Amino acid sequence: MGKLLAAFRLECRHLFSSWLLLPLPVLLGLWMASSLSSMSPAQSQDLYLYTMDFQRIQFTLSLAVPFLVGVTSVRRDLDRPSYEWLGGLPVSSGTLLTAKLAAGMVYLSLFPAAMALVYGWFGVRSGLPADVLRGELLWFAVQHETAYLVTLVLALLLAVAIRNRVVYLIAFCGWVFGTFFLSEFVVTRLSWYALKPFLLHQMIQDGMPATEAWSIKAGRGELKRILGFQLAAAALLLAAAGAVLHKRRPSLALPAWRLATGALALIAVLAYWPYGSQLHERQQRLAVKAQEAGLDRGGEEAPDGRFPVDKASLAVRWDNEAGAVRLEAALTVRRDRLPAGKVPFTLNPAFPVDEVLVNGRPAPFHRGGQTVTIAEEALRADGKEATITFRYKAPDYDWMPSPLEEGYAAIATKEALYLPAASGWYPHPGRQPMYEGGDRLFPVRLRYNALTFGDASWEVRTDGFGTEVFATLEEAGGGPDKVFQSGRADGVSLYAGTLIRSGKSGELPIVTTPGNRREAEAFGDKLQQIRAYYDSWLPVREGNGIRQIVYLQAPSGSGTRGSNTVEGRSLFIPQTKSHNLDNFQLLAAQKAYLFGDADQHTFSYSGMPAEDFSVVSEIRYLLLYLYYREGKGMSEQEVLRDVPYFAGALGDSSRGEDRAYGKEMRQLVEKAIRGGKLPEVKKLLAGFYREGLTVRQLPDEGLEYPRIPYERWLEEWDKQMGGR
Amino acid sequence: MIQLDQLSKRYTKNDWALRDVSLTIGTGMYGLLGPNGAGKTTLMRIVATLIPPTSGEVSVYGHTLKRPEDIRKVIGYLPQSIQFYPSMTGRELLDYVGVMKGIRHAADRRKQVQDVLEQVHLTEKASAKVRTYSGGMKRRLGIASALLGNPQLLIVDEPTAGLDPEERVRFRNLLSRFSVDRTVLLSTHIVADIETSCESAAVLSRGQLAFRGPLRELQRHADGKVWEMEVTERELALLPPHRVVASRREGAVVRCTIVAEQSPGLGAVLVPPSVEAGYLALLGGERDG
Amino acid sequence: MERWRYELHALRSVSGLAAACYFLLGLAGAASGDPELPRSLVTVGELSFLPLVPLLAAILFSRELGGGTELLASLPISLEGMLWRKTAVALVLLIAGHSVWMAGYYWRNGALFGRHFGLASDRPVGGELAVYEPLLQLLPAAVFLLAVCLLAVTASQKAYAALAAGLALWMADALSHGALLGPFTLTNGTHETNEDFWLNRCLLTGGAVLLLGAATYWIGRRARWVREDTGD
Repeated sequence: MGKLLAAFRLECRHLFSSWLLLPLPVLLGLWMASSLSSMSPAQSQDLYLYTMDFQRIQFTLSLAVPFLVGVTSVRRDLDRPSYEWLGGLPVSSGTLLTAKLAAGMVYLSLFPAAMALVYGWFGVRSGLPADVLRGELLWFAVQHETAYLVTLVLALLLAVAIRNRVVYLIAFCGWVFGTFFLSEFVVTRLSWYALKPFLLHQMIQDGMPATEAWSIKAGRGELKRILGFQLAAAALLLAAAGAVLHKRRPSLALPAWRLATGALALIAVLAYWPYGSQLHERQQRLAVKAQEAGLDRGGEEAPDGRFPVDKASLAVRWDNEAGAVRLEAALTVRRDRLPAGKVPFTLNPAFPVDEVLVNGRPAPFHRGGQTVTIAEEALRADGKEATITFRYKAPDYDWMPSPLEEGYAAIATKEALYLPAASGWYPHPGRQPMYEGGDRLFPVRLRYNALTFGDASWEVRTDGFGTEVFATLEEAGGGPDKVFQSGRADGVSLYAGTLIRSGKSGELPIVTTPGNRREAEAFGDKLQQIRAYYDSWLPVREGNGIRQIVYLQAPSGSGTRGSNTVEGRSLFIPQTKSHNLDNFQLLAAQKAYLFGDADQHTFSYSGMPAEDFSVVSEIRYLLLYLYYREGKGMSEQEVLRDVPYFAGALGDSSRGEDRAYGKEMRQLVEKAIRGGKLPEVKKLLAGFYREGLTVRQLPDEGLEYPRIPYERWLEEWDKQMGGR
Repeated sequence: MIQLDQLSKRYTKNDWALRDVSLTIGTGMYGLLGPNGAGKTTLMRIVATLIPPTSGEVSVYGHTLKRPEDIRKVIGYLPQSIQFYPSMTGRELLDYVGVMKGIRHAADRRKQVQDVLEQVHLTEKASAKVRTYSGGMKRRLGIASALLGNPQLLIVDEPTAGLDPEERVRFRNLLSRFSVDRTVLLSTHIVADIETSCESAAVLSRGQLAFRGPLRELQRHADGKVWEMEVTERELALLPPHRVVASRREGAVVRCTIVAEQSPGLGAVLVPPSVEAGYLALLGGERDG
Repeated sequence: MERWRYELHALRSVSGLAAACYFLLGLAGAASGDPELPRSLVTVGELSFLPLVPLLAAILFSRELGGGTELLASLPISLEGMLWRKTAVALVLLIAGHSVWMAGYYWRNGALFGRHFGLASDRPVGGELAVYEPLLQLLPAAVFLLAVCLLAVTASQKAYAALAAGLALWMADALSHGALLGPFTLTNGTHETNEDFWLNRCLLTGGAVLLLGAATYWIGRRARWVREDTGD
């Protein structure tokens, strides 16, 4: 022990007296501080997103240091002819190697420490809850330490095994290969996910690791598997390095080192098993989807056998014994609306069905990929309605890699839920092809906007989860077991993970990640002013506007999250680094709050048939316009100049088929305002609002909207205002 | 007592660095002579347990290569080329070596370090960083580190290379003093180093043992073969260089000592042989061959 | 002439073999793939090619920095001349290597498909490039990276410093998709306007000249090369 301690002290002395090495952790910390300081509006201010970018790039670069430390520490004396005297001392090579490893790790731990200090500081400033901050610091620290350890051991082995100076070249190439090359080209682009545990660190991968909501709570399981393998591999590399040293210099301990190397090789193989078997399972599921995608390409792409569902009741429960999420979906349908013959339902093929009941009685069913078919006879019974209940299980991860990143269509663990409606996690009526095929590198992906449920009344119960569950429906009951309901919605998504609900009492809640807290609060405040304005004169609460905003970065793979969407009573705003909750999103939230849709643009009247013509978009913009004019006290010119989209909707550049409707309508409103008739204008617009001004995107890319001819607008105007 | 039995070392196929070397070395100083590339360093490294032999056995005071760790406990090793951690002081380095040699108690270690520092006359420089040491001082520090822990066998490879005459003498004396009741295995190609301090020696040539025994026996190899004669510079240039043991300019002529089986020319007179002459006579045949 | 040949001899080493393997691997990548969907020249001709620069810089200096450098400093040669000779050798090899890669790409795809940064238009146009264009587009970045590597070698007197500096710069650029180096980005995949491209290439060329100047200054200070053997 005394020898080890002395050798350790000596190694520490070398490392900590190096003018090159000592400042590096400080510099990395400063670099991180500078990166995190660059968060500013116009771009996202999500602390986690910026931190993950730093981990992906700068932390990857920092892995050159353990390579350098490892190689130089061996070549400093163990591999240097002029230090041969060291070999004559009665100290084992294993002791010297262990000392080098231990001292190297002490030095390298300064890097995670520097990063933790910086992240901690910014985390506190961003208002991260203490438990979240603690968890994230631990999450980063574990990955940093493992990455440095594995890299350092690899460098030690390389230096011990290769005595030529070419070892530097090999080590630095190993650095590039073990990080950038392996991640970008081999694992992601070639889809060789079997090699993912060989990445020197996992945070270099895009996709789920970069999302604060799921990276820890959903990624922990996989990371444990990978780190288990990496630690076993590190032990193997260390033993191999020891064996090489003991072989070179005669030692009684050589057989023991050889034996340890052999045993650790076996352990490393076994340690790979949990990850390997999980990957195998995922690949098998993906193959089923690829087959489905292939089937659909055969010409049956149009949905068939779709029928309306009146009521959908979902029970989502974490089953501790099974270690899986169990689901029960009860769909109430009217028998006369069912298609003739077998009745098909579409359900994500990764969700195996255990049982189907019709009005409580087991019914025979057939599962083929994404389609669950129920025999016609089972549905022929008394009564007008039938309740079809599916009992099934969710996979922990519904894996959907792309050539750009490893994605997940759905996640269902005790701590993390990512069940977007688009993933088909509950049965949809009819046969609706969910997948489409790509090429060799991209065998399958979710078809955009493929699934429709149709309006139904919903009830979703969740039970047994370790974290708070959020849904796109309205919450009907608090407590740990939640109930969500909606009188009319066409689908539901569930989310649970590292999430917070931002917003004071009475404000529109924003479900987001802790890193977005400050931004979400500021956004919520602005939105609250808007709500207060409209609530004073518009029957918003009777409308179908949203009741919640979900602002998240999806863990990729869902295929539908490129733009804002409204699901149930929630507006989903996808988060990216290049955007933030800016004025565009404020306008989108304003629209969604008033109209319950995510339509962001004005209509194009070009080529529109007369019967489809409608000034609904202009009326909607006039409603929005009043807030800026009256609520915020902006002038006409200021609104057109400073608020996004208004110039196009109501300004000089607004164009209809033959005239600028938007401009004309605004001019009428402006004239009325100048004439002191603002209350009448509000009354008129509230009348249109009561009739419904929602614009809904249909699955076939079409739009559903109320037809309001320009003449009708003028008619109503004249009626309300007594002329123009 | 050190015993080498049929020791052989092969680095690559058909490249024997040592072949069937058997030696018995008692206490005192023992010289290992041989030209460059003869296998001296390989032999030293095997005895110091730095590299394994291809075949054969080594026994150092009863410890064999089967348990190299035990041998390391009783040896001190000073290699041919030596460097130390430049940022350490001489005392710190010796303290580190002391710990590695198993001198556990700090006070004991301090005393031993001080002793060896005094023995190698480095006390004054002991607190200076090694990077400030001259080549000779580093070598003395090396011998100090080898002496620490009172090893029974001291292995020193080319210890006087690069030393000035005064340091060389001091070094020899130090080794002689140390060799009382212990063994010093001294490898060199400088015959004078051996001649002044060893009673016995072995000569290696091309990996094989060419001679072993007392120095006077080595000397005897040149009996009747050492000639002294006066030649002109032009004649000197015509003589085979490896046969000329010494040459000294005396006015217009050069007086040289030549090792040769027969008289190298007119005026050559037989003189009593030195160890160096014996060594050259021993290897001369091979070189001629 | 002998000195030039001596520089080339440095390639006959284990490191040279590693670089040759990478070169052949890249050539295989350039000369393979689906001609219907030709690979981007930004990936094939720039991103993949640039790692050869630090490899070459390290290899060309590996012999001089392999042992004691004192002897090198004592030789009656111009150290500045040696640096420029190595720079020239590296450039010739890089140009030749890139041409071979592009020939492989051309052979496979029948044309060179990339982004054309003309002077006449505002924005880069994707399409078929003239034979000389990929090389001219690459050269400023390659020379800049080479200059960074050479400065790292001469300042640190360690051959591996070229690898560390060059590969770090390249990887930082690749991982951040050009964001980290900003106007000094090495590849041409992110320029939105032709002006961006020309500014970037001018900055790289100017930066390369400055860095090479600094490297020349460092290498010329002979006293720095007198040092003990402290290992690598």
